[in-house]
This record gives sequence, C-alpha cells and structure tokens, in this order.
Amino acid sequence: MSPASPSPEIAHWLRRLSWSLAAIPTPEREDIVAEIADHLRERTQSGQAPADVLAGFGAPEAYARRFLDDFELSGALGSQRSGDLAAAILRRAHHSLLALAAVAAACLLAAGAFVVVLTATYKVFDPTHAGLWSGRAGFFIGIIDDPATARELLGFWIFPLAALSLVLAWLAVRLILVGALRRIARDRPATTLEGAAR
Amino acid sequence: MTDNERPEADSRRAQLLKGVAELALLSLLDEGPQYGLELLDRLRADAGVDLAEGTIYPLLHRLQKAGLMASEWRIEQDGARPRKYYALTDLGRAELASQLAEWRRLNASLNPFLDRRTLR
Repeated sequence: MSPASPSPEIAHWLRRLSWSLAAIPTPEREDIVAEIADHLRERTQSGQAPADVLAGFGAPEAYARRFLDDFELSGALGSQRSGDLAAAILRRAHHSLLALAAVAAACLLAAGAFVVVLTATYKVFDPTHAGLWSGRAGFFIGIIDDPATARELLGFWIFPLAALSLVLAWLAVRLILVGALRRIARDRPATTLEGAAR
Repeated sequence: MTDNERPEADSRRAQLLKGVAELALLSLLDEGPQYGLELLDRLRADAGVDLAEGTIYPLLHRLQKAGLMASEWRIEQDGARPRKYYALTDLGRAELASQLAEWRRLNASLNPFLDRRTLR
C-alpha cells in the first residue's frame, strides 16, 4: 500500500469496518479492508475530501453487512450444515418471499414427520389407541379415543414408517433450504445495495 | 427537476441499474484484468452506470465468490502501490455471453415495443 497515512477520519472508518467484518476470517477480512483503504487513499490523494469519499460508502457497519450477507450465504451453501442453512434462510425470511416459503414448507414437513414419530412413540405405550386410522371421516394418523369406530391400517409398520418419514423429511428440508438459498444467491441483483445510484 | 422529483428519479435509476451493473462489469473485465477503482470510474464514464462509490467492492466480492472472476494483488510499475486486479474466469466469460445474449434478446423485442407510439 502507499506509504502515506490515511486521514484520522478514514483510519477511524476503516477500523470500524474491520471490527464489523469480525465474522469473516482474518486473511479475507484484511484483504477487503486493504483494498478499500487503497481506494480511499487514491481518492483523497486526487484531491477529494475524506468526508466526501466516505459518504459514498456509508456507515461502516452497514457497508460491512453487504460482505457479511455474501459470506454467510456462501458459507452456508459451502458447508451444507443444517444449522448454517437454517440460520441463513431464517435471517432472510422477513424480507424474501422465497425464504419465507422455504421456511413454511420446511416447518410443514417437520410437523408431518413429528406427528408420525409422536404417534409411533405413543404406540409403544398404548398400542390399541395409536396408529394410522381409516374411519367414516377418512384417514388420519394419531391417537383415537374409541378404536372400535375406525380401522387401524399400519400396525407395527408405523415404526419403520416413522423412521422413514423422519429421514425423508430431513432430506427434503435440506433440499428445500439449499435450493432456496442457491436461488436467492443467484437471483440477487447486482446492486441490491442501498444507494446503488449516486 | 425539483428537489422532490430528484429522489424519485434516483430511485427509478437505481431500479434500472440493478439489472445492468453486473453485465457492464463483466463486459469491462472481458477487456482484461482491472482494479476496483478503475472499474468504478470506467463504469461511470464509459458505461453511464452511475454506481455509488462503495458499491463496486461488495459486487466484486460476490462475483468472485460465485467463481465468475479471480483476483490477485499486483505491484504497479512505480513499485509504490499494490493493487488488487480482477480478471474473468472461464465461468465468468460464459456468464457474460449468457447475460449478453439475454440482454440483446430483450432489447430486440423491448425497443420496438417502447418505440411503437412514436413510429405511428
């Protein structure tokens, strides 16, 4: 970098940017800060006032958020860990319809699997009242008050079904989360950033 | 333009820019490796894409993460200032070709449509 020291105003802004980027690993964070420091230095050396140049970047915390969003998205998609995927999609659910739909679909699938597993667990303790029932009102899975009013269809097959539904729901939820995050990452316009135009 | 109309015009301009900033950036990099400040100034001067000062780096960062470009620090000829240069990858060139084809297809149909009333 240039040997000239940045103005105190710019040095302070860069320090705040670096602190705000703390979630990004050191080499990448230093790389971002060094590149922006170089940009600011070149602008001020060409005669622009530090305050004017910094105005084009905004508050360092808000500016850092743009990098952190990308870091979180690519990190979640790269690691494919369920916790990272869920956290990344949940943080976007309040401003992305796609993320909200993915959360809703994931919740529905998880709830369905939960009902099957809960019924199977209950059947261990009370085999006559829990299961998949066919009655006058149609099919339902769960606990029935009077087993004489409906026919139980699964018997002890409910246990492998519960295990299978748990695995399938987990896989489907992951697929939905990964698919939604990839779509969000791909479809994000180049300048979804506030102040895109001067 | 009045003071009230200016923010509205800026917002409209920002909306229109959303779709073209990435395409213009990829097209610039197709000429050869360039650094962030140079890209920003050329986007403004040559392409008329009037991005805010800080917008270029998150955009470059994202496109690099997506594998569309690679970067390296290079020492300038005067030896005093290392700069981070960006260059298109093969994936970036393919993306540019795809976005360019889409942009031309859209222009070919949209321009005559928007001009239809003046042509009558």
